[in-house]
Amino acid sequence: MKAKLKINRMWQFVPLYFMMLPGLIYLFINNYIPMAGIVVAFKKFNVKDGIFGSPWVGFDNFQFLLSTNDAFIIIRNTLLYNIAFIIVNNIVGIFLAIIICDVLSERLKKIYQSAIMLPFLISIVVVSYIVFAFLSHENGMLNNSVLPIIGASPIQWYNEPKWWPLILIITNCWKGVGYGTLIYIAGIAGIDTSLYEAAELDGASKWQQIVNITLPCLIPSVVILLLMSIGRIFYSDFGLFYQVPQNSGSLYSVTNTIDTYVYRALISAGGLGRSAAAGFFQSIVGFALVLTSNAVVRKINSENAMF
Amino acid sequence: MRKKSISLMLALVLLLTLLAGCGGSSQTDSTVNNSQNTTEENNTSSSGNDSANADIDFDEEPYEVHYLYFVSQESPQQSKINEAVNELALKELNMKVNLIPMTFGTYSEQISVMLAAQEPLDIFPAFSSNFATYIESEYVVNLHDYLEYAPDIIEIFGEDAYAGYIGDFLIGFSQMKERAYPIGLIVRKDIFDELGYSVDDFSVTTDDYSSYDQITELFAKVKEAYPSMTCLDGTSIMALETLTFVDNLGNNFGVLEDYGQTTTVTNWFESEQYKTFCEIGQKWYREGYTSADIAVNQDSGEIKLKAGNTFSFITKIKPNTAVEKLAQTGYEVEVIPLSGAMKNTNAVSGAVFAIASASEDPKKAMQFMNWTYKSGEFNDLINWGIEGEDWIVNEDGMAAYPEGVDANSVSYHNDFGWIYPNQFAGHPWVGNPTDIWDQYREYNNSLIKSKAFGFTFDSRPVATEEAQLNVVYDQYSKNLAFGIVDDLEKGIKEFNEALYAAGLQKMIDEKQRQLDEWLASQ
Amino acid sequence: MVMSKGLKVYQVIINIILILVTLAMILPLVLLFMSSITEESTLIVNGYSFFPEKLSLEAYEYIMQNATTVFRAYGITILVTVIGTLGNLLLTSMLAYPLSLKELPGRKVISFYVFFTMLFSGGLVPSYIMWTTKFGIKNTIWAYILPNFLMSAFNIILVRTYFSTNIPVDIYESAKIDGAGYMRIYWKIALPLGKPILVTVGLFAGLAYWNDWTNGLYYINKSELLSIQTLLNRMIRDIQALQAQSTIDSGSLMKVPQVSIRMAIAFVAIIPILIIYPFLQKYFASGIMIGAVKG
Repeated sequence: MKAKLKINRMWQFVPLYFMMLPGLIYLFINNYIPMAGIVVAFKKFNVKDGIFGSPWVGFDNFQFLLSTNDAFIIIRNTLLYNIAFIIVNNIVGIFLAIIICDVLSERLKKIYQSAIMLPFLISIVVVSYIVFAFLSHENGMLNNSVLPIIGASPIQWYNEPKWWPLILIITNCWKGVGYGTLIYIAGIAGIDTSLYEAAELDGASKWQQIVNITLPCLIPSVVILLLMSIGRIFYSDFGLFYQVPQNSGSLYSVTNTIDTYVYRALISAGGLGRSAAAGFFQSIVGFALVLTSNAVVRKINSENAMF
Repeated sequence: MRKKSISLMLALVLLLTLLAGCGGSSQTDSTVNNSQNTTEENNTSSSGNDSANADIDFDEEPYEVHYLYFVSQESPQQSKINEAVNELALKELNMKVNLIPMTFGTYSEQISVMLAAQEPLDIFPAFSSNFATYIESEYVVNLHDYLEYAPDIIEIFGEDAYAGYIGDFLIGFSQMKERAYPIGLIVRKDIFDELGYSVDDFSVTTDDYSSYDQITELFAKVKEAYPSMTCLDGTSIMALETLTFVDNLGNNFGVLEDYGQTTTVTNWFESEQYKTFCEIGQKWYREGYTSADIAVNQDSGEIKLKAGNTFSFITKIKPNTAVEKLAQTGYEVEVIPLSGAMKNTNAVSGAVFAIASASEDPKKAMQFMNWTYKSGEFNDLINWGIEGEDWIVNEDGMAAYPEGVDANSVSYHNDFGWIYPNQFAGHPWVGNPTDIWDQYREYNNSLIKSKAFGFTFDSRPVATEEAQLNVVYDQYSKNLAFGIVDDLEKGIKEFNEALYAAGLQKMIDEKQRQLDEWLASQ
Repeated sequence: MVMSKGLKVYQVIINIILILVTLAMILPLVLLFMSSITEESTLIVNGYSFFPEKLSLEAYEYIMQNATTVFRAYGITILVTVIGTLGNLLLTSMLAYPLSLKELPGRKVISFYVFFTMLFSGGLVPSYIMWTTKFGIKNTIWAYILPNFLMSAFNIILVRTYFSTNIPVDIYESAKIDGAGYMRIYWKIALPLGKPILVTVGLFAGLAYWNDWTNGLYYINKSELLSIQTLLNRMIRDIQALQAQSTIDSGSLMKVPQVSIRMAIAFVAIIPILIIYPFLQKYFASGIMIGAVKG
């Protein structure tokens, strides 16, 4: 009897498993099969022996990345920028999401929602031209129009490292905040309005409503996005750190990240092994960090954890 | 994923700067041994009178050769060209040809995956920055084993045929073009003449660095007369031209100074010459002759000149540079040489035709390659298209557009002779002087030959160091060369310290060791 | 509806902020457009400006010389985007919905399976080898649709999270009591209620397909099959390459406006989206949840 119940219980889930099958198969094909290529990071690849037959070389391929004097700088830059991006983009994103949802006019709401996604359409290379339009020494809008107004003298933007963390954070926010904002808007849209009505009846102010209803309801989305960002914390947007600063040597101390370093290094000393090693390094760190943070989140509230 | 794609796109930009030096017009000549290649004789692609053809068995199934080559743009007539080449190859070699046209815009990405996936490929163009990787990954065949099937190539090239050796590995054969990368200052002729100058007034040479002051004075005059004009713009200046003043032995780290006239490998960035060049760059910058954005500018000097607000730019030059720049910018220019002209291995083998390891029959591929260097018809076909439709031979023996066809309406036209096997076997394009080949022969014979000519450095033992050195170079080179830094001496010192920290000494030692070995075996 | 003064002020403030934000988002696009119609030498000498001294349409003229290719490329991209986005939405929601159900056995393991794909990747070459040799997609339209963009762990997890937090379990319970099976619940309840996130994810997927120029770069070299981004990307690079090499017969080359063409090409790439955007707007949900529980 008990066995039959158990089978019955399992049986009801079968349609669900069927539903998941196409997706799982696709992920297997698109992501898992090629993952076998990761072993190249530890091999001296030659095409005749192929991915599996090439000889093992241990950690040789990692040397160019890890034994360099710049290793500390590039890791520090990648890490700090990503932390800054996470903090800034989420705060701005949540803020924008809340106020957009509060706008009364439906038409205006849609205009705002569309506007924040527009920067997404512009490729980062074009963004670098636009930034150059502002920061160029000769023709830039800042040097020619804005600074004279406040009485400051022209700045050689591409030579002064100290401004660039700010410039890059602003540029990255401009380009990417729309993403998070839309997700949060969707999250807010799903909150039961009766909660707000009840709160108003109780005399809660706007601010109290936000703090007690909106934010808590957004926490699952925030946590998930956070966990996913942590997984990518050793990756950087190549276009942002290479093209936008116009590859200016004076700025390397604040713009060199793991990805730009790998690119510059492997121009002539390439080969599958080294680029695979760099990718592996970035993945493994992200993986370790995510496992840790997910465990932490699970302790706090197991519902919010990724897995 | 996106970042990788952008990064590879930028690899293309680097590729192009390498090629900017290689980019020759359609009339560049080879070194020697071309005295028999007059235009009339080239119409008959010689067949049957050399040993390579004796091997060809016309009774067996035709072999299909996959031949990858560059085109300037995709053409609707591609299949027609392919058919014509097929006919020719079947007749003379009993081989079928699958032409794989590729534009520069997609080459880097597509070739790397094609090679890794071992897609059907016999012959393709390869660039020197990738040689070490290709050899290590076994993407290419060692042509040394097939030399007996390339008699015509050896005849045409002479000693240059062996420039593609890295140790015992022969990676490929170069193209027929100019063999050096000297630099010059391209100036606007109208302003130049107006201020009363002529090219003969200038003799800038590295024997006497004060001769560069002539340029400084020129700039001063220009600035006085035209205060709002930028004297010097573009992407280059003396201290960045590592292919010009020294034999860089494959990469910038450890070179043979003084146009390769020494056999001791040294660090160019510590030399007096480098420091002097940086000082000159700094002077020009501080006097306001150079554009304020020059260190981050990515637009070529040609673009800047074309816009009308720039007086001059520095670039690699060759005998007919002036005509070429007129075509590209619309302005008449004068060319002031700023260096001597040196022939080193890289000038010859910067780009080669290689045989892919995916080739099913390297012997046949080699026979085909040999034929591509010999056959004027082949070169004309892939360069100018179908005779009679896309081009005709005019009364001077030059190739030209047929009646009623022009640059906009022609369906297949490349003018890529400098990246095709042997443009001199074919017809030059109208507009060039008829004796242009003699000019080039003279030019190539007048080059200073580096003592290491014929030697190619195998960078595999120091690949890690090379990777790290690349990054250091990227960081400091432009700012020092253009003189953007406040304290030049300190900057150069920092640069060198960083280089040594990244393994420069190991690189120098390895280069010296290999060079000495090679010299001993000569 | 009568608004208190405080609320009125609040509305005014947030609208001002949002208008400024909107301007900040739009103005660079305007700059992009203005520089694409600026005359080339003015562009180089004076830099980019909102009020250029001289205008010129030469960049667009050059692009339109290949008008048929451009329009076919638009067609291909639109087709790919539509198929890909629909496919993505279907696969993603079908995978995310079961994962959102707490009672599903193996939920944690499968979630990890999904998430792991975000962290580790074999890289481009193994993918390329697999897709071309095992699936033969080179030079077919599937090369645009299948690799990478048909599903992403990011989207799956977003939808899963949304389903599990924003759809109360009571709704499922009441449906089950009514005798509905999982499939029906999926179609009739989860999908409609999940509209906000599905629209968002659909937007992300659609934009990812539209903007993608890498699949075309590696897998396609037949000119009839170029998508708009691949085509435009090639145009830029080929122009740069043509400039770098020398030729006597560059009469036509001289007319190519190198700098303004980059902007024009960028603009051409986004024109269809700008046109379609207003029509898509009505799907942007600022939805109100149906009080199924109360009913």
